[in-house]
Amino acid sequence: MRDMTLSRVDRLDAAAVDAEQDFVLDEDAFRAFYDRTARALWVYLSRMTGDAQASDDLLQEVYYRFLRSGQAFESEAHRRHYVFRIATNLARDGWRRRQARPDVMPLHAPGAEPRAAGAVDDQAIRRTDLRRALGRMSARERALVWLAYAEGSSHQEIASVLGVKCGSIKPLLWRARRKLGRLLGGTARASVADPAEGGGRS
Amino acid sequence: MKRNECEREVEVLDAICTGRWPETCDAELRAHVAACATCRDVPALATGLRAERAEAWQRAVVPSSGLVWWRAEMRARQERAARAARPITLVHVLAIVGCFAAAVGIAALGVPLVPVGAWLSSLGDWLPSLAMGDAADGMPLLRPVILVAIGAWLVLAPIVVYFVVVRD
Repeated sequence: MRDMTLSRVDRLDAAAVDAEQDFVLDEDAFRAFYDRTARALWVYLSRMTGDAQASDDLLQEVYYRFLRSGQAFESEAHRRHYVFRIATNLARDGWRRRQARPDVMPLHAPGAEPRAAGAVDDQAIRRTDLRRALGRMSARERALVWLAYAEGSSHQEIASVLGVKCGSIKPLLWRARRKLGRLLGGTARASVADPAEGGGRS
Repeated sequence: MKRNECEREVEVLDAICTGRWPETCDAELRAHVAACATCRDVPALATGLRAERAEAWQRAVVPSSGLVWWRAEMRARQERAARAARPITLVHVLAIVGCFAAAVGIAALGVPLVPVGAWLSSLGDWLPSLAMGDAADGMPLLRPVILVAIGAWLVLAPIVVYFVVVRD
């Protein structure tokens, strides 16, 4: 590694002060915002990319781009939509690259490890079916169904995240849902739902 | 209303997201879902996806906010330092290109002055004399050798200067 001269250290110190000025939030505000959004964002990224490792890297990238965006945010919701939008774009770019190099596409979605013989469990099978079906959808379709049904986002919020017109969401979502249903197949679709786990909004 | 749209889809989704589906929501809404082609699949898919989200949420391990902030800060510093160093690098590159162009120019101007044919023939004479151990006969060769050395120096000197400067 190269030795650093004093002038270079001085330059880095000066840059450090400027770096903080370049961020859209100060440290405390950022940490609070991150604690409220990071987990949901990681889950979204992991389902969008199908790769836990890539999601870790993308999470850092998303927050970095957010901090350096230079945007003025009107509200917490606006900030939240913005980070989901960055995540969507990054995940979509990653998806395109994997489509171009299908050899690096993981065979199993995160958490869909091969099951040991005798350890079969209905819920696991349903989840695996669901993950596989999601994996066969396009990035936009996956984002649509995930935001609408897993995150419970409104059409307006989805439109803001995906950067499409609000009026387009309904037909796009309907098509995505129909495709997911087709991929799951009639019987699988019926069994995906587990009424006991209906869960409230988190 | 279009075939793929239903006003009540949002209502169904809201009942699922708030945990009212299916037990505590209106019987009328349940009846609608059973009859509506658009809403029929919504509870099954939404419930499955929400269960998937809840499971992933529990397993998710995200880095601490402090670590993410620190990494962002470091990266911003590096980018700033790189930006600050960019003009210096540009000057280095321009200096090297200038020196190289000057060396090539000098060489181009110098080549016609060097009697290459005579030099080659003297080299032919000088090599056997060297083998005989009579180096004094090689003296006429010194002029082209000096020219070559100057040319090499003109090419190599800026490169050496560059590597010395870039270390600092």
